[in-house]
Amino acid sequence: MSWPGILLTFSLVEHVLFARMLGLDPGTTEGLDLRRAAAAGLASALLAVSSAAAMWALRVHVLEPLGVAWMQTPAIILATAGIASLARLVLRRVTSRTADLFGSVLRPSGASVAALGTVLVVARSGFGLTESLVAGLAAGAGLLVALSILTGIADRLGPGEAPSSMSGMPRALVSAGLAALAFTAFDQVFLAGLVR
Amino acid sequence: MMNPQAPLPSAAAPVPDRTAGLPELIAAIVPSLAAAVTVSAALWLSAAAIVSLLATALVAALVADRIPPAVGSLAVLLAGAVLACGADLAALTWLPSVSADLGIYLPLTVVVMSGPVAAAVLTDAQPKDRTRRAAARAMVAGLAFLGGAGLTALVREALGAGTFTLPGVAVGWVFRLPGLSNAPARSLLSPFAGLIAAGYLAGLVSFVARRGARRTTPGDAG
Repeated sequence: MSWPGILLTFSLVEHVLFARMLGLDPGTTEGLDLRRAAAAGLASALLAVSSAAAMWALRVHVLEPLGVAWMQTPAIILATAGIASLARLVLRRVTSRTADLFGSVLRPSGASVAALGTVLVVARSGFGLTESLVAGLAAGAGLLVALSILTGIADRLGPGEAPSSMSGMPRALVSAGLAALAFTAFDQVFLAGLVR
Repeated sequence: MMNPQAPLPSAAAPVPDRTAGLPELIAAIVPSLAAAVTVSAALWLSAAAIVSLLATALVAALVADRIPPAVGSLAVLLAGAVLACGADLAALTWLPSVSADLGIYLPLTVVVMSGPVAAAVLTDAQPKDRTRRAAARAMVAGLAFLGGAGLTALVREALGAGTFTLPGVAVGWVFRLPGLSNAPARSLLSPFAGLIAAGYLAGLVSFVARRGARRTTPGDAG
């Protein structure tokens, strides 16, 4: 697949939230604003890119030479979780304000799961290093756009518009479902017409 | 009339918040709903989730007293990764059609579901009966997964495909539902329908949990 094809597929067609249902968790949806949406998108993109790069290096230099390519899945899980934990640790040491912002989106759900899902898809597609990096960036950008849309919907609805049981995660999921309906316009036929 | 000397019931003993880990558990179930578009897929995912939940909860209970929590989380993650690999390879070898249907969601479910329950076991302050409580916690989470994914899949498959599929070794047994199979609403099988269904399911669970918590809170009684 060409780079524009990968970019459009991972950011619009096979969207990380609207098509794969990854990237929403209580840490992201509680008090969702544009700053947090940007943090989640950025965290997901950076995590996916670094995990994909680490995974590519591990696959090419360790797993395949040793003939244990079947260990790819646990390696991806450990690499992604390890990088997320390391990022949390470094951020806590560097600045508490950034750590507060990224800490909630880098928890072992939400953006981390979005990144893990993206790397699993990339690994199963047999992408090379550059293609994996483009896919990771595109998935993160897609998540950023999606969470920004959800922020806009939440702002328009206001706190009293939904019953208390539907506040937070349930409302974010229903809003995401309705936004995903709009994203069904971006399908493989659309992509095939756009990128030849 | 209330005795002014008696302490308020809520002040006498802290009431545990039964809804504390619920949002995390719902968030862990949501990604699986993208793959659970048939009852068969939901049952396979539930089986993987229950086995992995029990295994990681028991690992967490075993290591909780012996090593620091940070190292314990690593042990649980390692156990989750090994289980995810095992489930993936087993499905690929013996159930290739199931593996093709579930794709990344089989290893993802194993890892994502294990997290909240294992974390709760690791931070459990009472060492007495930790293993039994860990197993109970894992079973409850597994049954919640089965209920959530199974119910959503049942409705989506019945209305979206007009069928009911039971798991089989080579291929599932497909039963056509009279009436519904003639004019299925195919859009219900799309991810957007899964997200909306997950939202309403999460709302229902939240409503029931809040009502239950309100009933059991003694402070609300008088």
